[in-house]
Amino acid sequence: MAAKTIMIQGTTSNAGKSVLASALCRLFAESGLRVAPFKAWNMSANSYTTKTGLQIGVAQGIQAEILGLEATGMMNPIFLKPSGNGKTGIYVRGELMIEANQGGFKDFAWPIIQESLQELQEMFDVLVLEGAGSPVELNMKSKEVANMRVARYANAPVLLVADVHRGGSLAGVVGTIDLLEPEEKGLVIGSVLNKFRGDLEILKPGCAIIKEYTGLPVVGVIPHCQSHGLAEEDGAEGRLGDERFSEQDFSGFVATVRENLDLEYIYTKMGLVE
Amino acid sequence: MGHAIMLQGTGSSVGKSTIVAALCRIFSQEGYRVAPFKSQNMGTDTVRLRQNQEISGVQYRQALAAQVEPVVEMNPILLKPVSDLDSEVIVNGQSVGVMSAQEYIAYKPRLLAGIQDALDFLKANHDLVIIEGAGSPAEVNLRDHDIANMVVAEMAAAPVFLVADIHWGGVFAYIHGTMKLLLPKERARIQGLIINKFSGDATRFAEGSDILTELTGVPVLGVIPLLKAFSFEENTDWDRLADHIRDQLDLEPFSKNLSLGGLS
Repeated sequence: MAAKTIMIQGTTSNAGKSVLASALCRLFAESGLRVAPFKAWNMSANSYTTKTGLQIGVAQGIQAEILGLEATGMMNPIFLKPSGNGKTGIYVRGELMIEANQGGFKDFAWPIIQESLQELQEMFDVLVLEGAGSPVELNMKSKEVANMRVARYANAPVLLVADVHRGGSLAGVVGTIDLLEPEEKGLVIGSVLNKFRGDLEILKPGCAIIKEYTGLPVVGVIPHCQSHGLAEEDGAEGRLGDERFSEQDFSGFVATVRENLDLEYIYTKMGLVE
Repeated sequence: MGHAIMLQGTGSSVGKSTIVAALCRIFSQEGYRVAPFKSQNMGTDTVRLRQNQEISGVQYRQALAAQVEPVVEMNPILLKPVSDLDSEVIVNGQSVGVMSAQEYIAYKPRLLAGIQDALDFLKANHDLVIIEGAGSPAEVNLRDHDIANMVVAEMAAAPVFLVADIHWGGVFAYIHGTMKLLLPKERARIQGLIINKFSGDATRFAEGSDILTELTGVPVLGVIPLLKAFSFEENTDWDRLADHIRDQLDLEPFSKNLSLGGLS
């Protein structure tokens, strides 16, 4: 039987998709489910090296570790790593295929993504899918293979994450959902307001406004955490910190997510519970 | 009596302050007497003026960019966070105490008259007041308590230009969502969009600009390349900043009401 899926997309890059996906991986695993991470398309100056020497996204590598799995190329089938002098190394399932500029590449990326997703779906109970950037970059949308194209293929319910700390999150959520195609919008189950600091009472009317404009609930407001225990994919100066993972900080973050996210709603939408 | 224009953002840190500073210098170079203004600033980067009045360091440096003397009217309200929930409130350069977010919301209505006075003072003494908004004008859960965005634009009768940061992505969503959440009369104030912090060849965003104009009915006035290693400090090379922005921005809409006849 094919795995159940949930996809985390963001209103921007760096909204906290990876850390939320990591927390969900842990929470599903704690329920006794066999879980794997997946990100179709990733671009970063930093990579994770698997035991067999493959290069994939840092978040997917660490998520596999958290789950006690050996990271594989399937978990991030297309990985792009700038290699200097204006070129980009294109890694297919972790293996360097070519160094090129990106033009025209996305056409043949899609079958590779589909295949990897299918294989993982046969091996696990649940896949936690992560998007890239915003799903409504309208000037590039016809070429995208990282967000809604994946969600549609996997028929995955989508949670949209916005970084409240940066401001404008109501506009970000309302604008993103409003710019989706009807079929895509039909996959979105709600939003998550991340990195919130301050008085929740003041934000509550904002959640009501999101519901009013989009018809979709705010599934959680996650307080800003001093540390979530996971290395930033592109930290200061584009370099990865020495400490990639702290179990203590991550456990604390997972507890925060469990407390502030409507997991029952998510499980129901995923078809994990009746 | 001078004119006013206002820059608002789709979020915090989209580059409003920097673009205001650049516009201050550009219009100063053109021979106008320019003042920066932000009704309410939040942060710990502050400067004490000669009369021991404390204002935001940002407006202070924008005044330097404008080549005018910094005065307390340029930032009548300053919030200095002391914790996640409490801030020291500074009005016209003097502390009035530490308040929680809820206490400050209750206190805010008393501040509106002072904001109007400060604006009037600046307009009376300058050709152009360049106003900076705070955060996003589309935090409509806070609309009733707004003293920094559309309320100020209305007080100053200022056209508004909306700045979005493309570096993190999501500009279509944030601009479209902002316009959607504004009231019709607020939306009508938005006269132009500015796409900031673009990496790479800005001409590649031409199609994006067309899409944004089609969505919002508002022109994209410029796509500003990411300024690497720029620091917004007292000794910043404001002329260099002005050059960087001038080349990328259609300045006509900012200057169309100015009496010296606009820019050449």
